[in-house]
Amino acid sequence: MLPPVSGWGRIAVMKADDPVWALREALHGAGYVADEETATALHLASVLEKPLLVEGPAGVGKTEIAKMLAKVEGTEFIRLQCYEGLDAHHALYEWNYQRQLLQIRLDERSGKSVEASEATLFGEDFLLARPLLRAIKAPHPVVLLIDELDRADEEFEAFLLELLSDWQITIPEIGTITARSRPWVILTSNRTRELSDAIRRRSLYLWIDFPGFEKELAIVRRQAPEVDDSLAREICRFMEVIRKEDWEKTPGVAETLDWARALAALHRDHLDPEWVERTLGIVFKDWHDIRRARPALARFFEAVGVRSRILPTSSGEEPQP
Amino acid sequence: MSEPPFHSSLSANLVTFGRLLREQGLLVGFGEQGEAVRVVENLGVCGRARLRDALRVLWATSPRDRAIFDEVFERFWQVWARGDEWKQTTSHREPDMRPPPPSAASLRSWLTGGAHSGSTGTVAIARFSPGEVLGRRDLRDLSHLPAREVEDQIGRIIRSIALRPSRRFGAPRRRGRLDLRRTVARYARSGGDLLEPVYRGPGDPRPDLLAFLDVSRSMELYTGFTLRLLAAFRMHARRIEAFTFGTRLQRITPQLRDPREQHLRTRLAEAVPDWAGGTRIGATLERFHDEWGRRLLRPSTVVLILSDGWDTGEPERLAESMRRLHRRSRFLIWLNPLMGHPGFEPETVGMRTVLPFVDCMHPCHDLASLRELARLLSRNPVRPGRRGRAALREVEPVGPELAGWVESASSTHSRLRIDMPCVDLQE
Repeated sequence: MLPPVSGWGRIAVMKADDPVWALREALHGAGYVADEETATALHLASVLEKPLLVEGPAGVGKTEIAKMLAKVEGTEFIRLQCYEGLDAHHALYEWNYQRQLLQIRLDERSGKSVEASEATLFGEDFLLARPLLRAIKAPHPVVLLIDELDRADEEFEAFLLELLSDWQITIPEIGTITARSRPWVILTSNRTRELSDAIRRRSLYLWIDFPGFEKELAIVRRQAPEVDDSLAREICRFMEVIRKEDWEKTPGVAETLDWARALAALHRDHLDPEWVERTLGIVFKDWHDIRRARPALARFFEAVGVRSRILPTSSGEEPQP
Repeated sequence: MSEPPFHSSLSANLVTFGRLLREQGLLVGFGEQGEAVRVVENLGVCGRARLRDALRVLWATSPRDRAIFDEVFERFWQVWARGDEWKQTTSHREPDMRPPPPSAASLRSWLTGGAHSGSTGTVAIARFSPGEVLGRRDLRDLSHLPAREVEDQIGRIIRSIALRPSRRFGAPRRRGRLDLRRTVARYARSGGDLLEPVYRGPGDPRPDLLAFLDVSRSMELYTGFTLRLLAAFRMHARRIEAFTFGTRLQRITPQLRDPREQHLRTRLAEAVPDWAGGTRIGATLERFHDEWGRRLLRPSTVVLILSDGWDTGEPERLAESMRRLHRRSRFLIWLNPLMGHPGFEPETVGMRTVLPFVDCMHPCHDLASLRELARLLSRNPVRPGRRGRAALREVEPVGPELAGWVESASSTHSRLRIDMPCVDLQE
């Protein structure tokens, strides 16, 4: 029996046989900074063999989880990008009609019989396997990412649910294909609409929000090690400050990393107003946001603690007004 | 079963915890609780944070659920730690000795045998009670209602009238419809090889659900509810067109497309000029027919009108507009917040004019009425995509106050069916 929690809060977990901790370390090694909850969610997804639904604002690293998981597990990464109007056929398979027609022409010339011709026409060569079919046919479990499921519609969700339960596909000309292995399934959604109850019950649920200062700093250190540490700290503090405001397109982790790398490439080792203003387009991707941000920069700098004059550095630059 | 088997305090409390969450509206059923047991077995000795993460990933399925979960978790485990389950001897246990896992089989049998209210005698935890009292509280005062329930009910209502029946494989539904003429022309041009069928247009823009929301002064008290309804529109159905009307007709569908909920209010405030003004239903509907009707209205559309029916325009115009709306749609549902109040009688000129053209008029003044409507519609789904008028098959007995009135109305418009669901006018 598990002991009451309040007494055991401080006991260190035995790291050697803690799979969650091991997963977290492996992800970190692959380049993804995961927190406890993410690692727990991934671990449970494999234990319970359930899909994992990841929701959160755009740009927080939902897609990256799947890619990194594939890297860590050493398996293939298959991605199905959902969009409005996506239907089952686009996601599953398509017959290569053009090739089949050409084959028919050739067969006619060579005088092949109809049965022989039909046998080849509906073979593997003429089947264009789309992501879902590829995921099913793989001999070893792959990582299947179904990205932005909220952009597809309810019919597609219903079809997906069926697939996730039965793990088999019926192609009329070929027959029923049963999955050789069950992939790790990760669903992402930007919450532009509410996914159906059925999908939410079927999956585990993970909410990833914009990272806080510590986590973002860890990400910058891991992903952009060339960036000077004090610059990284200032950048992360700046991002923390601006995310408190309401933007059309709140900048995500990708913007932070782009900005950090850009400033490092420009040989900056701290934030100064002139360069921030010049590189604002890396942080804000919407014209309205840039227009709002420019006059507010002074306020942000104050909150971050960036002073308008350069601190004395070893290169001895002139202080700017 | 009279008593739960006391195998481990944790598993029993998991069940209690799950039940608490279920009362708060989370989807925690027996399947989910069974999974929690498996998870706990798998995780073994772990800290409170890990347990919380694991259960939250398992049981909370949306950001709102997560917030509720966190709150209940904090309160629950605090109380439990202080309670009598604390065994002093556990502190002497060696850290690497794994405790025997709770017997899952007996736990499951206990779960299915019927849950008990007794939770091994710990302190009762104060909790929300979405009971009858709250259910009757008027929707004008939304702040005291469990927001989730209101949204759930509205969501159910929307889904039952706006969701197309799901299609499985079927024909590949590309954007637009097959353009047979161009396909055949292409076929002829390519000398007999049909390489690529031609599809037409960017898809069918006509909506399944057409909503008209009254924003005049008399409805001002229900603004909160209207906004909730709109937010639910946005989340639960794609093919929706929404208009507000007061003295003017205003199309607000673009404002609904914005994914950020907090902006909805400001964008609507910007877009709708006649908020809390007068009401001219007839004229605004007429304008709708002139400008949008041809494009948006089709025989399979469901029309929803939210209004109290206080009209200051001419009755003839109103009757004519409503008649056209009714004739060209599949089902017309009218939500009337006044209807739930005792002593309501559709006496105003507006209501009398409108009533023959309405397929279902329902109150929407409190949560109970919303639940009732959701129940009614779920048993009589009014799905778009079919031809012909829909009518509610299940007609509940009309209250005595309204029966006489309905008869007299139906005698004048005898060819139209009037199905009035029961309105419980007693509090």
